[in-house]
Amino acid sequence: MEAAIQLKNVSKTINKKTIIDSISLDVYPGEIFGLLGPNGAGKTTTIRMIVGLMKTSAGEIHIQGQNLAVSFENALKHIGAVVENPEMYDYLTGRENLIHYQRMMPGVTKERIEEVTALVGMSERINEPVGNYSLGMRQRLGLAQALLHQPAILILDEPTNGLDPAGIQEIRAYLRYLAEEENVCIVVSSHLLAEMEKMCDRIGVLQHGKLIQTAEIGEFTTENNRVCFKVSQASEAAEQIRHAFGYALAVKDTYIDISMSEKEVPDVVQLLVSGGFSIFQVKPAGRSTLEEKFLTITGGDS
Amino acid sequence: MPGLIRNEWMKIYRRKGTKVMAALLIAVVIAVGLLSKYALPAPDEPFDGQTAEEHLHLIEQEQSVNDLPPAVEAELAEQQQLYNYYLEKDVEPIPNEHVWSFLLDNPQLVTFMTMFTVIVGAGTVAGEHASGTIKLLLIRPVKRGKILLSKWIATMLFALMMLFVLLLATVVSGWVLYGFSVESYRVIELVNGSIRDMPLWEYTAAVYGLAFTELVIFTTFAFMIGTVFRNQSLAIGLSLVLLFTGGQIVYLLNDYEWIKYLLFAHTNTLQQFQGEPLLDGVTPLLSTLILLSYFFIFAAAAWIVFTRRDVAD
Ligand SMILES: Nc1ncnc2c1ncn2[C@@H]1O[C@H](COP(=O)(O)OP(=O)(O)OP(=O)(O)O)[C@@H](O)[C@H]1O
Ligand SMILES: [Mg+2]
Repeated sequence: MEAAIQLKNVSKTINKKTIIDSISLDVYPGEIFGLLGPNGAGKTTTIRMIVGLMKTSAGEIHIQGQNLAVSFENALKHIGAVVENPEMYDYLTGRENLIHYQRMMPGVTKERIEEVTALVGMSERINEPVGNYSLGMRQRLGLAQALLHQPAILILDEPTNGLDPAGIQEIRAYLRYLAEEENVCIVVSSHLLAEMEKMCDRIGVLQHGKLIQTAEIGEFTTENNRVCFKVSQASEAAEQIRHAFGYALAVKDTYIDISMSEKEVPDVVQLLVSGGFSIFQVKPAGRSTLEEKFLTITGGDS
Repeated sequence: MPGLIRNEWMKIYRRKGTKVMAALLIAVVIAVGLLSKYALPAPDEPFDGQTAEEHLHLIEQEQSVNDLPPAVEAELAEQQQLYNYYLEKDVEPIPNEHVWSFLLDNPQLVTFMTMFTVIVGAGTVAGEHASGTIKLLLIRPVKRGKILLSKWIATMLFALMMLFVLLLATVVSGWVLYGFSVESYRVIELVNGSIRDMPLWEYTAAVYGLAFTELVIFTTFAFMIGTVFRNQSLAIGLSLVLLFTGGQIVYLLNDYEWIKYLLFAHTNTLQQFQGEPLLDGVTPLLSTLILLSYFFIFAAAAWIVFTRRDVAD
């Protein structure tokens, strides 16, 4: 299957500061991909590059096989997006805002405006100026403009920000529907881990501009257990394990706490033995939730 | 493209400020009309409202006075030339207290209008950055250059609409103040020693058209500054300061040769049309070329910055 979004070694440097550091990523039709990372990790910057608001300093972005830097219009017509807050024209009504975007995209009918308005539950308030809207209502209108042209790719930066629990539930269900029934490729960003866990099929963890890990949501929550090794020269051993397997791990005294599945234990033991380390204990350390894992990976617990 | 222009027009038109500007323009036209009819003392024009023959008669009377200063004598000779022409062609001068005189006095109000179009032009890109709406605007499958062009065109449409409001308000209030008339006149003037004779509508189109070129260049300047620096106040301030001091700058520095390549030596096209250019040796051709060059520099600066910029706000 061809990826809907393809990032190839994408970097972004602003004022000599590397903000995004060589990210490579494929996102496929029909999946919901979560970009997870703490504040300032580079989620919004990555999204800005995918939607063409910022140019890449290095690397390429392909949308439905089209190179964004070369055929901008052909790439962008597949994308619907909300970047950070959904800022709209306050002095125009909700409907006028949608008409504004409708005129910028080929083949969107007036009926479609009614359809998306109903879809996001804004039919009653659509003729009011956006200046009167609450944050959640703006968020809904933002979603409506992103869905207007039935894009193959939907990109939402912190989509649940400002929504009430019922609204979050609705969005989650609707994104799920789009991915499964309409085969839409969806990227959402968030630092709300619990939210991501419920919404996404796959998660990429972003930190300091680097994509440090991508994995199926299942790997994070169910398959992935934590295993604790007690070894000699723990920090050196940890370094070798990290290098060989790329696991997220934490070192404490002579213990190494690794997020990994049980079936990978023999491989690790083999590595340690051949590396000349003495193994004193190997024991299960419990199941890690996404939150724990996230904090371990990003060093948020230290 | 038509859709993009309609979008930009909607954004200009639906703002409260736009209607206030139109109302203010109408109010100023009415105020100027009332002031010139009632408040200002009648101009010291002994010839007003008389036939060309009576004018010539009065001129002769004045000339017969001994020891006239040479300046007055020259002035009278010019007047004589003018009214002989009127007599010869059998046309009447437009009376001072007439709707068409009011119309021909008002191109200065285009400069006042320029303040409004500068505000709109300065805000069309800068405002989208300030409100953050630029993001959702630029993620459409439309080249940025097209969006910029549609914004400039919509600004110019706004300027044309304001010009229409100005003309309509002037003619209607002129009719109310000076009586209804659609009588056609000719506008006859002495420019650089020779007679210029134009039909009224042609003359009106010329003076308002020339005043409008000044508006276009300053509005485009404001548009460019607003686009490049993303700051509406800066663009408005800079444009208006230059609009109102440009002439002085040229006047103060008119000893320098390079001054004739400065934009402001050419923006007051109306003055040139009336035979009093700011600088000697400035021809309409030179002015046209320089105005066009500045226009393209402004357009290119806005275009280059807007199409390449990383949008990070
Ligand atoms: N225009 C800019 N100039 C300089 N630095 C920038 C610019 N935009 C972003 N940055 C920096 O890039 C880093 C990533 O910012 P970004 O907005 O992508 O983070 P984020 O992951 O979206 O964070 P958040 O969760 O707070 O939304 C931050 O350190 C930020 O300071
Ligand atoms: Mg962000």
